[in-house]
Amino acid sequence: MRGSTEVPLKKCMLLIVLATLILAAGSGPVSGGAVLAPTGAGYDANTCVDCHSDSSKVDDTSAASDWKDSVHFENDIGCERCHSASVPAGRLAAFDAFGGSYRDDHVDLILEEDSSYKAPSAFEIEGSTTDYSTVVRAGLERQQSVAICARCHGLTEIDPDAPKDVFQDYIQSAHGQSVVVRGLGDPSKVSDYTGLTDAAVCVDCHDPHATAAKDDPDSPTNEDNRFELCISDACHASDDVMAKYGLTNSKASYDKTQHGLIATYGSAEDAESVPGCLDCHKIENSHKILPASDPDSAMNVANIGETCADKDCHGVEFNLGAGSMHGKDEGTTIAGLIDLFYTIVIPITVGFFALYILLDFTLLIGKKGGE
Amino acid sequence: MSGEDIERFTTWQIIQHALWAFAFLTLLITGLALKFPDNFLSQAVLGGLGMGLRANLHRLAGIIFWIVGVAHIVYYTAIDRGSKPILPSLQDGKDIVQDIKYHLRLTKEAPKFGRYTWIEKFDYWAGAAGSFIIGITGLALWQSYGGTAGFGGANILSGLSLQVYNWFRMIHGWEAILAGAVIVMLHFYMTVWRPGNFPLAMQVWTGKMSRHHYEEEHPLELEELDKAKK
Repeated sequence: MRGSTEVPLKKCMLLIVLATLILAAGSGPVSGGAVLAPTGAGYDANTCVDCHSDSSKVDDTSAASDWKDSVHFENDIGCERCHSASVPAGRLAAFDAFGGSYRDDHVDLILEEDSSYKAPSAFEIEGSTTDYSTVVRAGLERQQSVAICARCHGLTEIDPDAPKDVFQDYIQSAHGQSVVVRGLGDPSKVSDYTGLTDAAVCVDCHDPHATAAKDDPDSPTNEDNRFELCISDACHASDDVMAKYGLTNSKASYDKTQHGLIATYGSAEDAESVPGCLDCHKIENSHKILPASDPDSAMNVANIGETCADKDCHGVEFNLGAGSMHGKDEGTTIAGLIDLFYTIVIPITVGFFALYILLDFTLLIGKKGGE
Repeated sequence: MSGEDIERFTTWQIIQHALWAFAFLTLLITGLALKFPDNFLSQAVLGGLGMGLRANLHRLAGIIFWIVGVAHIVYYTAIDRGSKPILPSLQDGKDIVQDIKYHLRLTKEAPKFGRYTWIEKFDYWAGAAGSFIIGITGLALWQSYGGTAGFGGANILSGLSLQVYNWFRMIHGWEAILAGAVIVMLHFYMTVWRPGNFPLAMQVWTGKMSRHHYEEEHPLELEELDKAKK
């Protein structure tokens, strides 16, 4: 097998680190008794991709082909990073959720009666000690992506080269707080990821297979595209979802603001000049979208003036006070009185003069006729 | 001399009205297009002008409206200290009652008006009040958050709270709908569609009105004018 002789030094080092971590965690292999970190012999991700690129073997080859275009592929991050349960018990104990109860698709297929399918296994792939029977099947709960991505992007030291602050930023964000803290109580229990299932998790914005860098113009997270992510029908453009959390339909309310009107009806140049969601709401990066109540939020009452003045926008520090960019002021008492006043005065005025005009017109026409 | 023309408005008054009319219609069109952007007429305006030109035209017309308004107030308080027939009086109350009775066919006797009918006075004073409300809120909107785009963005009211801005924005729009409805419905009926005036009452454009027409609309003032001549 090619793998055994080509393992880069870095990977060996990593495996040593992993092994150390497992021992240090004191919990040994992840619960369920099934499984284990790949030890030494190496794991060639291409073994998955070989079959999963072949439409005669699998129904859907998109995962493999998407992955080949991904930033993960470019950085030599293979299938097993996410799909294998063979990871150390990190602080999130990511795989508590799967231990014991899950089986992988390969095994399911083997167990089917009359199955002619032969799944790869550690026994069949010579030289490999990876237990393929522990490959995590697809169709995970969305929320579990947080734990899976966090394995490299912040929580553990599995991959020293992966951007690390992603998870730390996310966990402080309104989204992360909703999913992990409010939803869980205890972020170490992935199995409790049953709380606020609506808040954005990693895979809602980043395609798990075709994961693209944000400077890729085709990436959904690219500056020119990401507005659509926030205001998708499942998220901030949904009345129902937003109402659950005391928020307004952000798309509808944004569209009514001067920013939104220019974005919708202005020229391409005008539209470019107004802020989209993240221009105002993010701190440092898009993972750290803080709730406005957070004193660090760009949208906090104390900072919002500076936010408007910043970034070549208004250049002036507004005193926004408690007002809302998203039209919540329309629900205040004074706003209600303004609406009430005009919804009474306008119809009365118009009605009175419409009647007057009608009477006047018929009177004058009658007079002319009588003359 | 029934073909004689009576001088009704001075050149200064004609100019004021023309500037206001031009500014008002510009403001109404460029404003309503923003207030109701989904409407197909609005789309034509927005598409034709673009958001930038729309905003600048609205502001330019607003400035014209303001200048004429201030000049009007200064002129009629500081320079022309003569009598002000446009001021409301008790007689107007009686005229309204009489006029409504007449229109409801409860009496055959039409009220006789002086220089300004009660409807003209309503147009003037309601227009003044509306202009004041729209003018103040409009200036505040422009000079607070709206000042960045387009010309004249001094942001001198950058301290205005967003909440107040949002209320001003609501008031500005509502009051404009009210003003637009009164002008387009009542004022245009009286000066364009009303039998006798159709297709357009010319006195506010030429300053002159026929004696016959004057007798019908402002008989009391005509009597006084005739008396003064003798």
